[in-house]
Amino acid sequence: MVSPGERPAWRLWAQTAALALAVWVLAPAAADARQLGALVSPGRLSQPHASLEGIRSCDKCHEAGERVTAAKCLSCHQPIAERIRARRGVHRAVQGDCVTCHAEHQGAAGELRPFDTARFDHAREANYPLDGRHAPLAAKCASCHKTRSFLGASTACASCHADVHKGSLGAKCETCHSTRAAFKDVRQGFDHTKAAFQLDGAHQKVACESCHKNQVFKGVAFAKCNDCHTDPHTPKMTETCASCHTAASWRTRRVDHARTKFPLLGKHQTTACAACHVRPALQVTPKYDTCAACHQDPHRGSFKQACSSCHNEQSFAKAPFDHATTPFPLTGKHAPAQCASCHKNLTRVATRTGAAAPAAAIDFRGLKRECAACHDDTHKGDLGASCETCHGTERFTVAVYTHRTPAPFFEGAHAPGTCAACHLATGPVAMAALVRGSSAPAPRPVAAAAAPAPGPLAAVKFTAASRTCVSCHADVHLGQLNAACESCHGVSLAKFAVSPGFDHARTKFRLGGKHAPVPCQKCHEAKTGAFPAGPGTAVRFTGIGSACLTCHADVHLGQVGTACETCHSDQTFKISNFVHKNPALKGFFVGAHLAAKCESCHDRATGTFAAGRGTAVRYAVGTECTSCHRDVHNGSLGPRCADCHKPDVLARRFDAHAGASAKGNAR
Amino acid sequence: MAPSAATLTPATPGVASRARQVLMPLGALMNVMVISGTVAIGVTAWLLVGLDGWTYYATPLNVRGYSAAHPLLRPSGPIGQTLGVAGAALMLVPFVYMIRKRFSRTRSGGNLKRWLEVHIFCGIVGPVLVTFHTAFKFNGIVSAAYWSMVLVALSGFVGRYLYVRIPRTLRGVELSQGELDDRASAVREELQWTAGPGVLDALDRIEADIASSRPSWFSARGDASVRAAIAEVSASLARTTEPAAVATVVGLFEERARLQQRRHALAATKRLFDLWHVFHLPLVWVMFAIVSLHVAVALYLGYVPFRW
Repeated sequence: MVSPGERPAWRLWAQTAALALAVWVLAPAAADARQLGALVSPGRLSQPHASLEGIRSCDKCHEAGERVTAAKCLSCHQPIAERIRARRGVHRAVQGDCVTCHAEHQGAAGELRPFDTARFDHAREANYPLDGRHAPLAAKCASCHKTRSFLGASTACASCHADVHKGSLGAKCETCHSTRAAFKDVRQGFDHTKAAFQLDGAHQKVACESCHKNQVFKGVAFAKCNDCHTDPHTPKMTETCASCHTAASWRTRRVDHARTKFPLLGKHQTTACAACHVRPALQVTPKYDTCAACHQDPHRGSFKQACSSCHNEQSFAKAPFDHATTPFPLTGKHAPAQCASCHKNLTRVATRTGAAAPAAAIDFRGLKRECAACHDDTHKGDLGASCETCHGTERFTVAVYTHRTPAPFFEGAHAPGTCAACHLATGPVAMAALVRGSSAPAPRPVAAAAAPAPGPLAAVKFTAASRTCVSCHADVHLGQLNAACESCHGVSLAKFAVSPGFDHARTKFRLGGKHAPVPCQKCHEAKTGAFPAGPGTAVRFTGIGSACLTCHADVHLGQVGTACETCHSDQTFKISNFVHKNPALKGFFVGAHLAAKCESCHDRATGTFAAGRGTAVRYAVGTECTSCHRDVHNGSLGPRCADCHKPDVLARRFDAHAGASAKGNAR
Repeated sequence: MAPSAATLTPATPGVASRARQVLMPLGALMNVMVISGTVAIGVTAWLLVGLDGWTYYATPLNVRGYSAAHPLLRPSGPIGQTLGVAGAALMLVPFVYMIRKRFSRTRSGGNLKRWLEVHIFCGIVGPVLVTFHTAFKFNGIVSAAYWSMVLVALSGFVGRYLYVRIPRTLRGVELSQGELDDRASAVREELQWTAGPGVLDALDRIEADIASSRPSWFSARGDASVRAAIAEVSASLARTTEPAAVATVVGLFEERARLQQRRHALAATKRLFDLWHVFHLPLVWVMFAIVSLHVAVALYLGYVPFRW
């Protein structure tokens, strides 16, 4: 350790310099050190107290040794002092120092009066509730308290609101207005029952200014209706308004029409008075005894009956006329038909007296009862004029029609789903298209209700439809099988399926063995060419031939002729048990030859055969040994192998000799 | 400066384990820093969580006066003012160390190192208390005192770093150059008696390494290489030697290596430590001058402790 005496001199200088530097650097840390007061102040004063900033003012709030006393505060805040003394207002119960609630030296933005507007009970603290329209102002103190002080605001309306009545109605605004409603909405606040004129009926809905014009609320005359209302009647009515009208509505009729000679019934009840009482009102005395007094006769006198025999007051158009009283009662689909559907000359007309004349006379008479009077005959007279033979009034489509033709014809695919399938006069080809286009319906009673419209009814032909197949169906076989379609096809089968019972044995080619399950089209293919009925494309059923080679290819390439059945049967192509019957081979199949496999001699070869070039099993094989075996003696012993070798006794030895090279056994 | 001669008797072979307890280790004074930190954290937690200071100090200044904790935690409140008084009192305690160090007449008043530990404790906990006394309002001249205090406290950590790098006795008395040289050669000699050639080679290597490096007060890199050499020697010995002997040899090796390193950097470290004093102390005077004014004004206006 170095003692102070040993310390170098520079240290003292350095320390002094560091001290000065520290003061110079750190003093501005007192950010607002420009004022002397700020040096000892623990923070700036709030804005309202800004004038008290500075060291000379400390004692204006602080008292030496006593901190901040209430007496100091209240020496400036006199109004608060008075209220504390009087125990009034927010400070009515405070005790102790002000600083308990009011914090200072919290910066210029410091809040001196922390105010939770949400919790402040204005009614209790200020003795003035903020209710109704005033309620939203609770959070906006400045709306009413224009000065910084909350004191001094008056509860008088006029202290905030301007008097639009300019004093004419006195200062007691609350007589008419309340905080519950907008100023203009006086109706909410003002109780008109306190006024001399009671508002009843329609008067309650009238805007105030309708009667109180120009904001005049006092001295408005109301003794007579025409103080406000003008009399629309000419000449002027002598009776008082109240003899006919009430306050409820002008329209309210106090006139009891039932007591007149013309009680109002049905539509007359809702007819405007002026419709009959043509203005000026009450000047008209309508003739009430005949309809024609007000209504025009659109029938132009054609009916001698009274109007009421057809019409009543309920409706002109929907008169409860009973058509059954006519020779033509309306049944089925005729019942809901519009009158105008048959009675063509009906035109909607104005019927009131004085209205425009009808465009045409409304004539109900002279309509004939025959169907043809209204309906067109789509059959062009083919079926006569007695429509009702087939049709009824329930529906036009023929509901139930029973063919008199024998029943079997209308079974199966002929079950009549659509009449139009056969009764269409456009020929058999179109017929076939129609039949294909519709799914075959299950056999059911003859009913054509769901039949789709096949086209213009004019095309439907009901008479002269033949029952021969070809009259409707086309012969897809193009004449190969004559016209006896029913020998293969039946009406009870779906589409044109051939009867499953078709017996091929009836033809020249019986189907047995593996031929039995072969699909027909395997042999009967569709061909394009000349057919009995002409050129075209059809499945061939005739002239196919019964030879095997008609369908099968000859894998033997002509080596063994065309009599396939010599070796093969229709059970299987494979030859299970073939016995050589060639006399030249007598004594050949013994010993080793007996055990040899067919392909040991009959190998597959490529070459030219009877039927041409190709690859096939060779059937023409020679019987001499060298045709299968190689001569290991290279001809030195001649061609007579059998002199030494016997297939039966020398088999093993022969094998041993020829094992590596004998063509037959090597394979 | 009179060294404590009794502890520095030149070592004789065979008594190494007693002689090597003499020097203050690098980790000295760390305990008191941990204790101080713990106390500071405890006080902080109590104020922030226990008294909800977290909410109070985060409340904007302009309305803070109306928060629930204001009466208690405001600088002139029961807690706030006590923190200020206690903090100021703690900041006075470090002077005891200075007096004990400066005036030889006070030598009987406890050992220096103990007083340095008190110095450090007060120098860490005091500023924390004062910080909460301010309630984080730094206004007026007294904030200059606050920032001075902060700088002094922070510089204290630098001072401690340099302090332990100047070789001194366990009681905190600095060794003279002669004592240092004696001690270094004694340790080396003892090592030659106790350690094999492998250890001595390793010592030569690390000493050469130290001698070739640039002398600097900042010894982090040197410390690391010494640590590495010690670990290496320790590991190689552990395979062949019994544990007690290893401890002796490694202890001597470590002392010798560290002595050499500190001797190498001694001039630079001392120069900086002198400069550090120039910084550390004047700020203290600034702080106390302003705080005196602050206290005087507070007392004058009636903000007397325990009169809330």
